[in-house]
Amino acid sequence: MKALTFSAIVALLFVTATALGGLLAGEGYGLPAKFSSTYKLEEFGLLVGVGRGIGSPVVYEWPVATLMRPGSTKVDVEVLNLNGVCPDGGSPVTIQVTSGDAMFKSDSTSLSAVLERESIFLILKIKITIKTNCAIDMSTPIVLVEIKATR
Amino acid sequence: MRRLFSLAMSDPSLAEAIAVLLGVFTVAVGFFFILTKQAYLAGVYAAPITPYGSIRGYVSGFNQPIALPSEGGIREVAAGSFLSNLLGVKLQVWLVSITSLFITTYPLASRLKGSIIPASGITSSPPSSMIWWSLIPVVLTSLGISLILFGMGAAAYKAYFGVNPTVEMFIVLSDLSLYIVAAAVLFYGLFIVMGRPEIGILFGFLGALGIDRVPLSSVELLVFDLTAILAGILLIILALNRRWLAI
Repeated sequence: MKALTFSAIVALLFVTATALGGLLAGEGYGLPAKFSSTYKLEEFGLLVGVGRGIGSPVVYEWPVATLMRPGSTKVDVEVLNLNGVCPDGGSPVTIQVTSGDAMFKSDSTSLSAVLERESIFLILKIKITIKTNCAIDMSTPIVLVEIKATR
Repeated sequence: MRRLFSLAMSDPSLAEAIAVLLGVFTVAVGFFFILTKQAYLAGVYAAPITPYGSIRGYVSGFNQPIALPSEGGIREVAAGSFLSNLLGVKLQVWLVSITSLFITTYPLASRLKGSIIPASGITSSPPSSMIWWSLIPVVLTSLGISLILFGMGAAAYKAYFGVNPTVEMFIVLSDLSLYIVAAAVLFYGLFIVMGRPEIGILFGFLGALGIDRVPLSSVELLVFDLTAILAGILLIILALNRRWLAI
């Protein structure tokens, strides 16, 4: 092989690697396809007591933001360690997940939603509402919310 | 000079061709992981609440509901953090680039080992001219490695954070690119003085480790890079003038 041809091939190799790497990075490869996080609801017992006293629901809401590979993403939210009985037989908690213009609501301790994402960012607003008219079992003091997202 | 160029680059053996392929692959994969990891960390920590937090609640009517954070705001903060993060991974960049440089050039250098001075007979050029000309492929290879870092870094910056390239981005990526070139020039200088690439790598590693511990701003790193390149050239000049050549 001629010296110039070999040099040109090496140069082309560098350019191809750059283009390929840039393309893959742009498509979100290298980012995780899964996200999982557990949040602790602070002063749960105290707030539920106050809420019941004045007849107002207790609200926990927070944003969740992470980077994930874009594409169709399944989001699962589950409230753990929360037991309660409501007069209407329903759940003592409602879960609401907002992402951009999309909103998902569940009248139970778990919620599943599928998001179509084009962005590399996954930004959610989670809202957990504890109803006032339900008898909450306070024997488990730590109430957790588990959020899982799978692309 | 053409003869030396042909001697080094023509009719590569299979081992040499594989080495070049491996060297480019190493640097592409290495930089891909460094850049995507730093971009991910920047994005995650730019979020208002990072994962694994405790959440404060409120009784309805006693607090304002929170707004969904704006993606644009998070992107902007993340883009700035990404550039700061990149300045903090100089050692990783150095390790990947020197490994690639070593893999890519070693077989070709082996073919030329001990032939620079004899080759002056072939090309009728003085040894100093041969040494200066041989610096060119080293710098070109380091520029190829820099191109991968620069291209991928700019692509990740634009694609991940959706912001237009900024002057700061160009400065930071140029910093790291020049850092790679500086490492190559110094490595070459040490190689012609000592004749042993592993000693160049050892000294380079100690130097890179020391620099990694110093929190340099983008402009300070630029000054450092240019000083290091000048130091490398000075080392070659000194080596030629004082006959410190070991090759």
